[in-house]
Amino acid sequence: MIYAENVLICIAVPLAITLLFTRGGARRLSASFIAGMIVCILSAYISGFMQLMSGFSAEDTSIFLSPMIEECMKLLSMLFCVYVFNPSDDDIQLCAVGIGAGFATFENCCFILSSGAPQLAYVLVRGSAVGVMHIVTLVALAKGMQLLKTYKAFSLAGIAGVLSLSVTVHGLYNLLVSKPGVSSYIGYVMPMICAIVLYRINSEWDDLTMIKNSNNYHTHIGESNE
Amino acid sequence: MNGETLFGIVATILQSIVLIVVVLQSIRLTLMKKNYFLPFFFALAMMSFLLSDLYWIAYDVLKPDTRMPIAANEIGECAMILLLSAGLDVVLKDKKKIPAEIVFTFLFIGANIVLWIAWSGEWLQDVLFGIPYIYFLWLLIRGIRSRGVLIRKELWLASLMGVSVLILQIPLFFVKGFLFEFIKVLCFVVMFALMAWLGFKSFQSKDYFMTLAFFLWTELSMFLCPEPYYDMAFWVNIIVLPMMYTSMKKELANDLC
Repeated sequence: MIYAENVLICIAVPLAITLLFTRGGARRLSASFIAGMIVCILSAYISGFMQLMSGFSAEDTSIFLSPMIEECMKLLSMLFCVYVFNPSDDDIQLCAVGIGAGFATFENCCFILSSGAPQLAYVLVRGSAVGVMHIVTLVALAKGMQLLKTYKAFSLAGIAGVLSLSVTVHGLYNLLVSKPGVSSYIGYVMPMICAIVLYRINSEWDDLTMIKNSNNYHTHIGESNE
Repeated sequence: MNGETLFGIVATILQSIVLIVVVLQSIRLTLMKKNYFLPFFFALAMMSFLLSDLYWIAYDVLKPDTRMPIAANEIGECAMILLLSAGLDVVLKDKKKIPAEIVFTFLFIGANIVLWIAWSGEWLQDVLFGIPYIYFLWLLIRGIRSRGVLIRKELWLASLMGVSVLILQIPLFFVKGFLFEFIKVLCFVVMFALMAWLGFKSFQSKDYFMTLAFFLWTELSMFLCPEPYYDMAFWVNIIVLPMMYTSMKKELANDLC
């Protein structure tokens, strides 16, 4: 048993202090990172509560309940950011990356503290699988939100759709790594593949957004000429 | 792993292959950089469906012949319906909100949900994952009406046939023997007749809303069917996927003209 709250305080306090001495993007990233760690601990509380309420085993909870709870919590923190601060597209992504990295870091810290880290290979696999998974699902969520905002289609259906997609990715990962063997290897590789695909989309994204903005610009010019 | 599970896995793998092709083609359309919203959301929706299939296959292989405590793959299907709805919402020009249509969609999908609960007993997930279908059906009805794909009489006929299927499902819980068999056959004849008609209309018009309505009916039919009718609806469901892609491409071309 570990005292997760104490671990959180230990990691979050230095980061909180950095907020006093940073500005702009660096400050937003640090704040999102802390928010991600808080979201992680709250998700763990809720998962534990739901496990008790539903009578599921620890394995079933991690396969079926945790993905839903964790992704919903991450979405809520993103929605808070979007609705309260009304950020630009770049800031939405910054917020997503920060929350994802904070979530993954805190989860990995707790995991290593509770089960030890004697095997470097296993720690590396965990770091590049679970760690990447949380960032990937949140960046996908952020991309969906950006697109919905760009097309003024920021609807409940769109947000819930993107959320359900990230829950499915997370759920599939948890299912695949739940059994040793080939399935777990596929599971461990999956987040990295998703990260590469998202990176590719991210590079294309800038071109697409530029075209969309330029179309809007031409439309406005056309209207003003008329 | 029994034969039925194995057959299910093979059929799902085939559906996944079709979905991979559809997803890749949709991504290619997205990268043509003209109007990327619809193909992008279509690709995301199909990706969700693909993930749902992969989840199903992984679960059947890792935990064969066990029932999921929560059908997590249904979240993927839910995502697909929501993402398709998000795309339709932008495409739909008609902003009229006719109360009768809203009431009909609530009652129709509500009745479906009641039947799912009666069959499976899983009320929470059936209600939760059924809600997106209400919104989706509402958008489809508005689109089909406003574009004139089906005339008023045809819309009434389709609604009547859909409702008849649901009504005919009710006695199947109570009656036995010859009457059970008779009602069952009658129910599935109406169900597949509607499916064939919607399929014909989709093929004829190549309208995006019509093809999605056809797809929705194959989905709803699958949820209401026991074997072997389930397998028949499943195969039709696979055939609709490329049709959906084609109609989406046509929609995109119309939008750009």
